[in-house]
Amino acid sequence: MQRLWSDFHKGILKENAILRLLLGLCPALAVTTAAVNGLGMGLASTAVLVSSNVLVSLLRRHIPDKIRIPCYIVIIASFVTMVDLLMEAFVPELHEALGIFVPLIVVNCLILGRAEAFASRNPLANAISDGLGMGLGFTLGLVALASVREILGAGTLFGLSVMGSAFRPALLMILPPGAFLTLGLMVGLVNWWSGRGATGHHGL
Amino acid sequence: MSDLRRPVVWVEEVRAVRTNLIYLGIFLGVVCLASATSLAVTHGVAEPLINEHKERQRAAALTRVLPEADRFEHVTGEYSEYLIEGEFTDVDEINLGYRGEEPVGYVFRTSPAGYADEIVMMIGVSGDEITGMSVLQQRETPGLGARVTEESFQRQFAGLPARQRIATVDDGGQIDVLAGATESTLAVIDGAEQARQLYKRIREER
Repeated sequence: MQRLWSDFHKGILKENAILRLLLGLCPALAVTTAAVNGLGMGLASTAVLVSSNVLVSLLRRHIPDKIRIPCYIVIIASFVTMVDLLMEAFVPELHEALGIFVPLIVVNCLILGRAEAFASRNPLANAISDGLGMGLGFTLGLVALASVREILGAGTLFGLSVMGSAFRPALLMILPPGAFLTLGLMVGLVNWWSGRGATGHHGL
Repeated sequence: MSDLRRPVVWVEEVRAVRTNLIYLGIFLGVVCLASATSLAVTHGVAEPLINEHKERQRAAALTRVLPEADRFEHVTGEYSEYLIEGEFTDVDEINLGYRGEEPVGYVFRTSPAGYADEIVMMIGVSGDEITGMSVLQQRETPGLGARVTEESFQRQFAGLPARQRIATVDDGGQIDVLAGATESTLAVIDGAEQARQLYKRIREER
């Protein structure tokens, strides 16, 4: 039980995909112009991640070692296509906003990485909690990144005005350079924060 | 002794590798087959919903740009001679709007090239007046060109006289250019202007 919990929560901050492992940065930089896009992308990726972890974990004793990567890719690509179709059918506005980035979840290295490094070596329950934790961490990272960019770049959060009418949005934050600036500062902040505790230990 | 056994071992190894290869191929085939089956099922579920949504979106856009009409007829085929001439290359659909049995105006769907990609838009014309414009799809820069979808921008087109060229304020027209998005604004104006000219041609010739 404790193992399950640690498999879950490590993905949220300790091994956060975006802020610590720097995985899946392409969608992280591209879709985070608005918080709602970050949330949608995060949840779609989480759905694919959990599903592929489940299947890879269930099949882990049957998939021959030599063709494991093609098998993972087929599994991941199928789930992504399903999520893509279902999103277009049930949440078309979000699907339109995320555009090309939904099909590109296939090549999000976070998902293949978890299949190879975790799900293929661990039982089902652990693979699920790993997928949920990693997905939640990825989602939180995207939402945080997108919130900063949306507030500074458009003066809104989840589409609601938060900065008042006197605020003049810094368009740069919504454009690609804003993504790099925000991500760099956030990664630096998290590193500084997690390094604080260790300072005393190492006497730095 | 070992010399005698060797060829046998070798042959067995070859056989093992071959069976293994066949096994791997079959395994991968089965994985793909399972994938294809589940995709076909998902597609079957999703497709009617996707089409229904697209249809609803289209109907809403038609009504938005030509509110007077209560029914629309797709008439692109009847006007195809205009569309292949090259002058109206961005016009890809023509709809005739009716109120009851009376034709009241046209709705053109055009897709001019924007800053990032085509901007798909609809523009309604009735009598001597542009009745409305609506952007259906665009991939312009968020916060800049993407503002072509904003109501305050789209509203500027409704009520423009159909006999007068659509242009920016600087160019002697009535449309305000979106700050930092000249190219997106000009694309939309271009799409609207092509529709307007096609409307004029149709009116003169028919």
